Amino acid sequence: MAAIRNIPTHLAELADILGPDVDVAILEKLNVISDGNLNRAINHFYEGTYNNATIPPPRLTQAPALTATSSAVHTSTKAWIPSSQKPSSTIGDPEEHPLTRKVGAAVQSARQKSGTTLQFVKQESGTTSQSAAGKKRKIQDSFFPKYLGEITIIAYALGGMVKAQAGEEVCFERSRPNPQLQLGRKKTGWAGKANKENNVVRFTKENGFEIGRLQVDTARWVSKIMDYGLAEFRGTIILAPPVLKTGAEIVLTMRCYLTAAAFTEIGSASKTMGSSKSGSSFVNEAAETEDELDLKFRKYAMNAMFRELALTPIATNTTVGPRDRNIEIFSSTPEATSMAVNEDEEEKEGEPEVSDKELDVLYEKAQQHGREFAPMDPPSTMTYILKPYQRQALSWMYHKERLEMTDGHKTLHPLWEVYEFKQEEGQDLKSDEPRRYYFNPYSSEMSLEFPTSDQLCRGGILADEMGLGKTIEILSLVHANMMDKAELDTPEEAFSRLTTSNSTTSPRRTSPTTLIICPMSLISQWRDETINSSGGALTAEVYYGGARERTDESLLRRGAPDVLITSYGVVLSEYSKLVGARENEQSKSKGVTNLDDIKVVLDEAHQIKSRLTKTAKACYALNSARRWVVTGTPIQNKLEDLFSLVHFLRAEPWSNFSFWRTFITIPFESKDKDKAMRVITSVLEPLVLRRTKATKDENGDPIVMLPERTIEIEYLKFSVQENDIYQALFKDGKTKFNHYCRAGTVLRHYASIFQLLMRMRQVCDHPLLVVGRGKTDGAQDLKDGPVQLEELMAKFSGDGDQNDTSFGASVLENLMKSTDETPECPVCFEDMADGVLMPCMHAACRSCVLDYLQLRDDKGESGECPICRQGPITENDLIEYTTSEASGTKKDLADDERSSVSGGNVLISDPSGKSSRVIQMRRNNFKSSAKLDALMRHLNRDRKVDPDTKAVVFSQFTGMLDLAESILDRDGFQFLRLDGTLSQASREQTLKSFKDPEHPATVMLISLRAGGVGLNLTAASRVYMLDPWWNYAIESQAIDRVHRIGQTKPVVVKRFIIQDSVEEKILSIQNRKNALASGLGMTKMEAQGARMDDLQEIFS
Amino acid sequence: MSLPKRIIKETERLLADPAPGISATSHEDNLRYFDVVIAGPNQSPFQGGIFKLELFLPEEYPMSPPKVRFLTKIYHPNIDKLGRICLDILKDKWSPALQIRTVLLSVQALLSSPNPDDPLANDVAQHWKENENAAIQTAQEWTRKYATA
Repeated sequence: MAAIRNIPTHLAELADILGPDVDVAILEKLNVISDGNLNRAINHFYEGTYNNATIPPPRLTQAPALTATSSAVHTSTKAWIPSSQKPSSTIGDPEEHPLTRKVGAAVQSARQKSGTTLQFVKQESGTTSQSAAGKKRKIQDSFFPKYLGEITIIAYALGGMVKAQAGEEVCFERSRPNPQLQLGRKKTGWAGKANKENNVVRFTKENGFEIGRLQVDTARWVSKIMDYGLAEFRGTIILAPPVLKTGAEIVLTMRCYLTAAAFTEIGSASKTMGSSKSGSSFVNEAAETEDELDLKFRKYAMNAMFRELALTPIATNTTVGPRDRNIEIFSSTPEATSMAVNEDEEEKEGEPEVSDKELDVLYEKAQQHGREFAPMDPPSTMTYILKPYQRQALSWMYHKERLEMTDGHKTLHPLWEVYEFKQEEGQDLKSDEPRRYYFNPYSSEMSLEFPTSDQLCRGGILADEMGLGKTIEILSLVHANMMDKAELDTPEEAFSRLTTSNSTTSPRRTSPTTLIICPMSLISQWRDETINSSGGALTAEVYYGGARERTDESLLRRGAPDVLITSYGVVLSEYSKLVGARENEQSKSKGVTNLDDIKVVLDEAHQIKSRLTKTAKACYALNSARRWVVTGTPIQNKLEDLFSLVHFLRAEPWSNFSFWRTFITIPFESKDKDKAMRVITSVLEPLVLRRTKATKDENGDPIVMLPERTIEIEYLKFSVQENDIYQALFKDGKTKFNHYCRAGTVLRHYASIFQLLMRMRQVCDHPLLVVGRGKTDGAQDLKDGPVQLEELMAKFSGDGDQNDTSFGASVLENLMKSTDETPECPVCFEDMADGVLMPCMHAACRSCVLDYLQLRDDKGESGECPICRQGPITENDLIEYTTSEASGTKKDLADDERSSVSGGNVLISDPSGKSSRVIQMRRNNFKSSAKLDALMRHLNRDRKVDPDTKAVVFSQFTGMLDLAESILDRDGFQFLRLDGTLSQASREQTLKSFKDPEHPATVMLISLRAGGVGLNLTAASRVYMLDPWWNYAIESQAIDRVHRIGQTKPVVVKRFIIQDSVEEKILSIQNRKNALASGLGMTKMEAQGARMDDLQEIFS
Repeated sequence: MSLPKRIIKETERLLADPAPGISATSHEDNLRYFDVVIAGPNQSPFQGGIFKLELFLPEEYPMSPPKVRFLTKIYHPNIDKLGRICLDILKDKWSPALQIRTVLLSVQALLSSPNPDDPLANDVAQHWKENENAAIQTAQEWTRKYATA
């Protein structure tokens, strides 16, 4: 569409972003009022502020305005410039916001140009908040400067000829800056710590003669106020010595008058500024440090002024509680604040983690929530039956989306304070003037209007614990919305919709599309669930990969589908296209971020927990009135994880990073943790709905009844060889570590220490992971195996005349017999779970035979059968066998498939067909490990109890999964594998197969990293964790893939841990919650200290 | 150290289904230590005798053989004055597939067929070789003297 219209090239990009429906005239206007700044233009557009904005004369762009400002300053040699003389043409133009922030710079450039002493009345360069524009314009001329208060201060005289008398009026002015300093400052901005701030404030007689200077303490904030033009100061000398020696003390009364500038809104394009609608972008992150600094100075100065003038609020919002005025929210000096800025840059690394206990407190409130809403029945289009708590969630979300702003007007915005104007002596208050003003100490904004805590955000965080059915809850909301739309339709339309659901005239075109953004692996799940939940009443489309083009066209053709599912990656790439290099208009006019979505749902939204990532920014930039965030873990480690979500929701005021930081992060980092927790609870309360598996309904019953789950740690012992390898590695590691310790270079060798740790952990899984897999790789050695094996078997199962043949045949016959009794190992007398046959056809446990062979080998004797002493036997002569019931076609199929895949097996089944048993034999040339043996022991046992039992095996090493594959193969298990290398399509297929009860696979191998999130593996009821991860939360999440809603069987989880190894120590670290996990990103000092302790423990 | 399942099972089976002429019971305070009684085999110089032995299962059992010793004095070329037995399966021919029962049966068999060519008690073996009848007579005397209650 964009192509059809003739859009000037300079507007093309804007047109692309805003969509084809926006008039060219509006685009032009937006472009003008935003000085061509794309972000700002978009902001204006979506805030609707362009409507009441006046278009300035085309020439009056930023540069001329600055010139005008500076020339005004330049020419004003008089101390006083009545604010009424301000160039009124710019007042009320919201597009001029940026100039507010530029005031300082403008003034400086003016100073540089003119070289004159700067007068302390700053030129107001025309900035007015759009929200207050009308009202302010009315009162502006007569109202400002408005008396704020007065303070008695001590200044010191400069000496010289000037005389001063009590009662004399004085003016204040900023000291002449050092030109060199100014130059330097211009380059480095305010951030340069090396630049000593020029804080000098002079006071002069009305005729301009300098009397003296303010003391540093006072001057520090006064100078800032003056630099920013926030207030005017007038003074009266109270006491002065008759002769003004240099340094003599003069007592002054200083009266402060607020200027209109103080009441202007701070630039809305900036995330740090106190705009109430700053939702749109963090895009100019890097460019904002200067603004951020300006804001910090401003905050400091304003707060200092309020404190010095002893102004006290007459009311505050009670949620936050009274602010302790003795404790500075902001660093007390500008120098310190500039340091604080530097800290800011590290903050994302250094923010302390939130402990589990604290999280519990936080969530407690959110869990109470939602109970107040009567459960709501989903529309009839929803084919699923919702559980009571899910209906509650639906009700909660439904009401959140319809949230009206009316309630908000009653309560004061939590961050604002109410002040009453003081009456200046001898002045009467005019009746029509406002008597109150509002100050926000956190942003230093001031307002004459009552700031309400309007919850603009329609949406929230659905943070139900994993497995409670968040997907279904969201879908029920989609259904509910669809019904809504239908209600709006006339009956005829509703009827036609029913009859012609696919026609272009279908009113569904107007029905709200829900855009669901989720990790790639969940796309199909969302699509399936959408379709299953509706029996076809909802349309779902996947917007991903190669399908993107088609979807795009079809979107235009027959209206939006009800649910459009895409991945974070797609959103990011579409967004990058928008902000990135300019492409041709055609391609840019497409794209998911262009869609006029009514509702956006972010699934697994912790993906955007870092506010600086491009993905997060892309999500923020999505245009939608209704925003939902779905995640089981809104806070993963840090409170700021939550911020990103809140910012996405545009939940005021918390979506403002500056608020968040001053109010939550900083108190949380310092001693004021309780307060931060209190605040954050109040943030969470209206936004978050969270229930856990343990949440009770009003009757006190748990809301979900999941089958029992048992998690057991199974301690295993290394075999002798494994132990040798492990000990060698451990000794090596210990030596190195001690060496680093002595040299004090542990931190510098983190990488290599972690490498050592990794190796040790791998050996715990299987020595081959470390030793190198070339020579003993089972799959390779197999090649010569089958032939010999088949010969052997042929010999035994044929009708040979040798004696041992008949014995062998009888052995096989015995194996065939479908007895419940497992043969006993002649050595350990245990059930022979993993038996091997020796060439003489005697059988014993694999481990017993291996032990015996090892023993003989140690004595220098050749191996022999422990039963008949036939020998010599080597390990490779052993034949592993497993028997399984060939029950029904499923297993037959399995076996057929298998034998074609792995030639290493020989399958023997009773030719007579009497027995249903199948024996699978395979040469024992695969080196197992303690872990794999344990795994197979369990899997074989599971299979014996119920051949349909499905198990999920997690390991963090894909190499281990490879080995597990070999051994599963050996024992005739059908398996599936899911790791990071799979494409979306094959992931989907894999998950589907695993769910399918007809599919032969009973084991799913998953890499811990790939399978941690979102997957639904309830088909399995056994979980085997081959290795422990540093952070138990990760393991627990993996376990919850199986133990979640939909699970019908008791879940048994085994965690394999090698005794006396690094794994046991990992366990104890896990238990201490001293998570080395985050330590993998190694930066911060104190965390390093803790990690050092962990390392010491590991290598002890 | 808990007792391996194998030892428990062997003990149970020895009690439930004892080999003819052999009894073995473990000590209550040390389940690896067995009191063994073997009846002298018929048609042997030890017929009619009741021979007490002790049997101990070392830690490594069944990877190492049990230790077996006669407590009752016996005149036998492969058993010395201290009761030690010269039997290959108790030494290098041990196999973990052997059990207490099989060991004791072997000992019983050794009583039936002394092997003076592989002696432990040299003087007895010498005697056996030079004058087997006299040696058997001595053995019968010893049996009457020491191995009858």
